[in-house]
Amino acid sequence: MTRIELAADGRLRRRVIAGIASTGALALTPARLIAASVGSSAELGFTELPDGALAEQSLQVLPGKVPLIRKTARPPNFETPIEYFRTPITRNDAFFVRWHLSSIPEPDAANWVLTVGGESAQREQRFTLAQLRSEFAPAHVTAVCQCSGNRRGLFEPHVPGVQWGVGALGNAAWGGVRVKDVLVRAGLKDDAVEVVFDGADRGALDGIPDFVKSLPVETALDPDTLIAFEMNGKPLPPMNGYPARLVVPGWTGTYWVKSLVAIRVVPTPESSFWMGTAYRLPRGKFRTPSFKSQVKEANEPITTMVVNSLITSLQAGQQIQRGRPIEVRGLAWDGGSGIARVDVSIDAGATWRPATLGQDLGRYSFQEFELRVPAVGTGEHVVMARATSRAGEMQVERLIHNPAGYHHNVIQQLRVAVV
Amino acid sequence: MAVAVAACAARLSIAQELTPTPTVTLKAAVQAPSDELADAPGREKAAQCGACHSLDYIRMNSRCLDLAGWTAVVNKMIKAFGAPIPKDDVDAIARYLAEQYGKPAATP
Repeated sequence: MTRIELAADGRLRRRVIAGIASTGALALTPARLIAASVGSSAELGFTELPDGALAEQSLQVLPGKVPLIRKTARPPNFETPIEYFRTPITRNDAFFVRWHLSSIPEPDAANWVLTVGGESAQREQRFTLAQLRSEFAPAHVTAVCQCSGNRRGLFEPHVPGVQWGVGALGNAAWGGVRVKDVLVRAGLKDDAVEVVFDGADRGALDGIPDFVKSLPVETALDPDTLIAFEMNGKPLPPMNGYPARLVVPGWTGTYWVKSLVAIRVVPTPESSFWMGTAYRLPRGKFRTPSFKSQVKEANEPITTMVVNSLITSLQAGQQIQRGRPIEVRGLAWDGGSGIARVDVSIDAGATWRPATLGQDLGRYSFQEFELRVPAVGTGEHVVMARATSRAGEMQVERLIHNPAGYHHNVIQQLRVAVV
Repeated sequence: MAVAVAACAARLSIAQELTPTPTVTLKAAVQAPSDELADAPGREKAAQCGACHSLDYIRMNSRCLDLAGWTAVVNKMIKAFGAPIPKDDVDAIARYLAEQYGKPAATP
C-alpha cells in the first residue's frame, strides 16, 4: 500500500507503507499523512482526483461543522464526506462550505438589514430579520444546493480551480420568505430585466471583484426563490451564509448568494466579473435554460443543474460474499423537473434494471433509490446507476468537457468483487 | 541583486500587511497544515499569491499544469482578480510554479 504525501519541501512523494503491521510507525506520522487518501473519488468509482489535490486535502473542523474535507483554507472550500449522503437530507453540520472571497462576515442577526431597491424598483425598502419574519408569509422548499464546479477534480484533461470531488453539494429544507413577496413590496417597474443579489463577503484586496450575482427577473419572481434564514428548521450555520441567503431551487449554487444584504432590480444586465465573465459555458453544449439577458456570442452563464446520481452504499474494491445481493443505494437529482427513474447495472452497462425510488421529497430534492441485485457468479462486477429526469434528461457515459469544469454527470463505474 | 531582493521582500511585506485579519471565527479554525511553498528560486515572488488566498490552491492544482497553463493562471489572477503582481514577475512566478508544481516532464 502506498500513500501520497506532501513532504516538508513541498514536493510530492509516494511512500510505501508495508501494511497494517506498520500501525506503530503510523502513530508517529502527522495526521495529515494518514488522511492523505480522504475524499478519494476513485474509491467511489470515478476518475481519481489529481495527485496534488489528494495529497493536500485533509479532514478539518470549521465552526459548527463536523470534520469536512478541506480543499482550501482561505477562502474556505470544504466538501462533505460520502457517509453524510446516506440520508436524503444533509445535516447542517455536515453541509459543504464554499466561499469565493476571504473576508467572511460575522454578522449580528439583530443588526442585520436587507436593502431592496435599484433603478427598476419603485421604492427602496429596508428590512430587519424580524420584519421579514413578521411581515411576509413563511415559505419553504426542500432543494439541493450544488456547487457549479462539483466533480471538477474528476475532469480529464484537468481544469484548474477548486478540485472538488463529489461532495460539494447538499440537500436541505430551506425556510424563509419569497423574494417575490419582498419585490412586490418594493414595486417593480416595467423595464425590470434582472435582479441583482449582493452578499456581505469581501475580497482580501480592493482589486478583487465583489461577489455579486443576478437572476432573470422571472426566476427571482418564482415562488420557490427564497430569502432563507432557516435550514432544516434551524438558523443557517455561520459557514453557510448566516443570517440569510438566497435559495434558487434547481439553479447551481453560485446563485445562492450567502450573507445576503442587498437586492437591486435593474433594467440592464449585471456585467461585473462574477456574472459577466465567470461561471460561463460555451453556447450549445448543454440543454439547460438560457439566461437570455446574459447571453454573449461565445458563451452564456451556467443556470440549472444537470441530472446526476451518486451511489453511496458501495466502495471500489469492496468484496461481497457469494450468495448475497449487491446492494445499490444512493441519491439522484436534477435541475428541477424531478427524477423519473434510476436504472442500475451490475455488468458494466450491458443490462439495466429499474431501481426502487424512495420517498418523493419534491422535485428539487435528492431522490433516494435502491436496488438489491443478485450477483452473476463470482469475480468483478461493475456497478452503475443512471438517472433520468422527468424532463427526459439522462446522465452521460462520456464527459462533456468545458473549460471551467462544470456539469460533470458521468455515470459512475464501481468495481466490486464477489468472492 | 541586493536591491532586487530588498524590493521583493518589501513587496512581500506589503502583501502581508494588506492581508486583512479574517473574522474571528475563521482565524481560529481554518489553518492549512502548512502554507509554505517549495524552497526553490522564485519562491519569494510566488509567495505574493498568499496576499489573497491560501497556498493550498497551488498545491491542489499541482502536477497538472505546464508552463503555459501556470502562466495563464497567473495572468488571470492579475487581469480578473486585480492581483497586485508586477507584470515583470509573471514569467518568474509561472516558471517557479511549473517547475515545482507542474506537470512532470515527459520521459523520452
